[in-house]
Amino acid sequence: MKQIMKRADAVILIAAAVIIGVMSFQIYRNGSDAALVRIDAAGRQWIYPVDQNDQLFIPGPLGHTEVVIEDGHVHIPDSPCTNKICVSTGKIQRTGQWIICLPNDVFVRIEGALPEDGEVDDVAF
Amino acid sequence: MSLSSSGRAVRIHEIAMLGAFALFLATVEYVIPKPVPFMRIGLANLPVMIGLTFLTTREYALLAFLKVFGQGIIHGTLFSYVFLFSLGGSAASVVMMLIAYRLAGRHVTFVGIAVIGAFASNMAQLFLARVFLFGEGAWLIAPPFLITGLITAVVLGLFTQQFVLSSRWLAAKQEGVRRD
Repeated sequence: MKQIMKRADAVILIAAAVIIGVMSFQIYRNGSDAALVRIDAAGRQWIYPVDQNDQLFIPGPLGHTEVVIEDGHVHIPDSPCTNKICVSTGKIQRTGQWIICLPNDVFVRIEGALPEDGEVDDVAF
Repeated sequence: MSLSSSGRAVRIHEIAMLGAFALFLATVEYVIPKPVPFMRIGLANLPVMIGLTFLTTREYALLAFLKVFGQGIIHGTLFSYVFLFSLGGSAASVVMMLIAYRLAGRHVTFVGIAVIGAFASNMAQLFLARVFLFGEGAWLIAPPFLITGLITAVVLGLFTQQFVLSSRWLAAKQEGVRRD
């Protein structure tokens, strides 16, 4: 009787840990499945799945902006603009992140089935 | 179990004392800085778990209500929607802990009961958050929320078990119950 923990406690603890593990796996995997890459350029729009590798050349006023979708990440390796802000933005991967090339009018944004921006705002919570 | 009138008065004092203890612990929890707002320690559940050992179901429900009410006052959420989350979470955890204690009290220590209670409370709150506030996005905070809940529940459960095993007050009470 005078015990701090018994076998049933260990069973409960392990069961809870397993449930949390499985839930976490489900939640974070499904989150990335639903994500899409939306590209707006010069009045046209394209949508690609973020989990299929692809290399795209998006036409804009200055020429073609190269957009690469690779292993769930999206980045712009090259664009015919002068300041290359879009190139230096680097890789994006989460819902709500975006890359923009203003000179060539290309807007790349990751969207998902999740609500706007997809991330919980700690402050608002 | 019927109590004499003096026994009933003693019992009411004990419920009030445990309720006050929960209020005090809610205050302690309030002043502890937390890295993220949804992280909770659940200190106020300590007297609620101690109450499991000798209260009847109705008395236990009263104690649980005192705890929720006290937390609402201390955290300043009594008349806000946050109070509904607190109430929902506490109701789920209290019911689950009571069932666990009554059904498996011989085989389970307070570590297991605290884990069950924390899990029930957190799942109820996540469910409420999903329905009323964030939609499916609520599940994104579930893993860190549940993991911190699990850790604090184990620590609090160990402490409660230690208290229940070593408290002379509780031992004297159980002696008294046996003598009646």
